[in-house]
Amino acid sequence: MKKVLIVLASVLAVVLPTWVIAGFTGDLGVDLHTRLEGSSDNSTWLNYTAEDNPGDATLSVSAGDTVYLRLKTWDTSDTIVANSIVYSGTFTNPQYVNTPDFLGTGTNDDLDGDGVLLYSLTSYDSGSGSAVFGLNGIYPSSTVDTDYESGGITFTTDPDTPDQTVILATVQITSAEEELWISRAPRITDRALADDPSTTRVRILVNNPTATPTPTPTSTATATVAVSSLPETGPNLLSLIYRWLAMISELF
Amino acid sequence: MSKRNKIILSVFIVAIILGSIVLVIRRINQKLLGPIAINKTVAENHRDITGRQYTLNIKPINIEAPIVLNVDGSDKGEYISRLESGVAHMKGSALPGSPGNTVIFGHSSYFSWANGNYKKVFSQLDKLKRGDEVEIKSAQEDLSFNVLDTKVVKPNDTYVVNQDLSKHLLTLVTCWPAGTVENRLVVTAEEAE
Repeated sequence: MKKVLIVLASVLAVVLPTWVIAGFTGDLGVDLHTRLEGSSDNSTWLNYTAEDNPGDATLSVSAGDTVYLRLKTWDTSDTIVANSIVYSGTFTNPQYVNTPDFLGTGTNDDLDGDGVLLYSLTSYDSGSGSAVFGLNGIYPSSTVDTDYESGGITFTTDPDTPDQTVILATVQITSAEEELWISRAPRITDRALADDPSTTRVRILVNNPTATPTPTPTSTATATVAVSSLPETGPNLLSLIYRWLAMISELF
Repeated sequence: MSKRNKIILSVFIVAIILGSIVLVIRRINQKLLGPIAINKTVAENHRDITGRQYTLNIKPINIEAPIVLNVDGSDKGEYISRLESGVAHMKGSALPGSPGNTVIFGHSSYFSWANGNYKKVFSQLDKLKRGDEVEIKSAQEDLSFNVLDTKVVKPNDTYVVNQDLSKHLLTLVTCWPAGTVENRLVVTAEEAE
């Protein structure tokens, strides 16, 4: 019995990896591409440094306008499906990005309308303007014009955005999984048609000629600050012990 | 099993038990002393609505610390978390450069195992004397204040944070003496003309 098991294990050890690896066409496997495009009217699309747009193309909008972004992803490999693609995205000057509607609302997550492979937002930090989002999969043999997956991001620029403020919207693929029949650990060629191999970007210039170039801070002062005692900025050991005991008692 | 091996085994088991206890205590303390993942709110509160970030500089006592804006001085859970990344501007008090009283508070000391690099930022605040310069800097402007007075008050002496919109005042608050929560050291300064 032992000998049979050893033989079977040996066969699996040799055959299984061969079968999986043989499934990949070419050395790179999945050949993912992604491109972020921007529009002020939801119909004419620009990419900052994409191949089919002049370098430094800038989407020019007015303060208070709605900005439309769409993220395309495609896979030019012949047979390998990419699953669980994870992206990171950032806005510079996020304080002027109002009500961002990120992929995943049911309207923006599937612009190509195939209803199958959808983008979904994991998190958005309005303070730093950084987001994490994902796409559950992309089929092979897709291109920038056919069978790509497309998701949307919209936001309005703040009406008080200083004149000539630039907001850079940048997206990067951070990980993905390749699949033939068996899921593999991340093995990815992340690429974008942009100004470096791993990111895609839209440059948004906000015009607001009537705005004060550098707004002054707004006072939040009230006649009396609502505190019943001054903040406790030292080590209160008794309080800590009391809270510690309370927490332990909750465990039981 | 030999006596020697029994001793080694016992020491090993005791070390594991002690290590586990320490880990549990550290975990509980982290939970009590503030949430670990506070990046979002810290980032939000380092800027005002115009995107400015401020730094407090007090050269006579070598203080340089970022100011976390709009921190609720009545919510201990919140302000203890914020104080991990700098000194705190009290919510409701004047923003730097605005009329009123800008109230900034920070640690004079804190638990050694707690997170943060500003646990003793105000430990030398009592060294300030009348006329010393306190600066609040941002990319757009530097504000200069001169110390008017230094005093020790009780925790419920909240009059020190009252707002007088006819003046540009700066009030620094910390627990005093350092290592206790008994009193508060309050430094008042006025913006230089």
